[in-house]
Amino acid sequence: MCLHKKTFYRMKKKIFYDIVFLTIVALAGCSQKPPVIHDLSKADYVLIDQDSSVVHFPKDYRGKTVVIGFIYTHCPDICPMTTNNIRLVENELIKENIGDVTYVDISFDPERDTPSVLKEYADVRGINTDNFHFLTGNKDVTKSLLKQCNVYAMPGDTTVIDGYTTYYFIHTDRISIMDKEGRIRAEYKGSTANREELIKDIKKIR
Amino acid sequence: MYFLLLIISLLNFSYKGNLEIKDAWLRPAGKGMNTALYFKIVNTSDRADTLLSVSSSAAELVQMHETFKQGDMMGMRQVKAIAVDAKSVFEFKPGGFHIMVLNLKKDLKIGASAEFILHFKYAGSIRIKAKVKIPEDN
Repeated sequence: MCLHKKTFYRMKKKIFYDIVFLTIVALAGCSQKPPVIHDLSKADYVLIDQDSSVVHFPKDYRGKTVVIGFIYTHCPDICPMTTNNIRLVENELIKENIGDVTYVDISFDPERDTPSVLKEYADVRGINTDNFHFLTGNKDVTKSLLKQCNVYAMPGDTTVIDGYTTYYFIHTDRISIMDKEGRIRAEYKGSTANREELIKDIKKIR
Repeated sequence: MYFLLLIISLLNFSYKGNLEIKDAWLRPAGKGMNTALYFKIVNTSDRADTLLSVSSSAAELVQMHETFKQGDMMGMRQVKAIAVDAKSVFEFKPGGFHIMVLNLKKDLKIGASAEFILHFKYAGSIRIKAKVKIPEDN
């Protein structure tokens, strides 16, 4: 009888410690930052924003979590969806008073996406560029930045309009989240990203 | 009569024979840029039809395109025609088939609208008006 009682208490104790252990593991998992995918912390890409101001990427964003979309403005379908997803995430986080997050669209078509074209792209969508920046730059610089972010874009189909040829890109469809130290920790399909998941990950990473 | 015309113009669809064009909208874009037009074609008849082309005075060129996936990459290509089966709905939608509107002649800002003419094999031409908007859920 006494032996049964001892075994019972031992089991009860074990169950208690198991529950404590599992709770700690679960809580740690919830708050843990996703692992680093691409480390840009030591990089310095000199880009230009929609107002023609020089931006050192990612150095100028240190201390902010950055949501990055990769786009070209002549794209009628996929890239506007990516930009719109970021705009909707920004609106949601503003509502939640989360201010240490910045939003960026980087062009992989720097030859056509000049600062004024990017400004027009933002203006026509009613996007406030105070905290949502549109970046372009030298072709080689943007190319190496994109490569480091594992984003690719190559000219695809073309159309001739009034004697000149316009081209479209086959490109990576991507939104990334970069932490405050310049390390990319999460990636999504830009046009169809699940915004709830994105917001949840931003909160973990910031 | 005027009242009836007013009601028809306020409704967001165009109708011809057994084809109805519903929910036409396009994304905002600046002059000289490209945008996409989306809508639904509702065919209530027993006969299939084909959308042969789309035209508009709002842009230099209008084409029918489809977005495609190639591995992790996305692209788009022109399609020559769109078959609309009998008793079916064909939808031009974000991330799928869309009408590519190239080199806009003026800014198309949120709240503005633009007219397009859809040219069908059997139903002939259907004129539609599409509103410029940014969806709240892509």
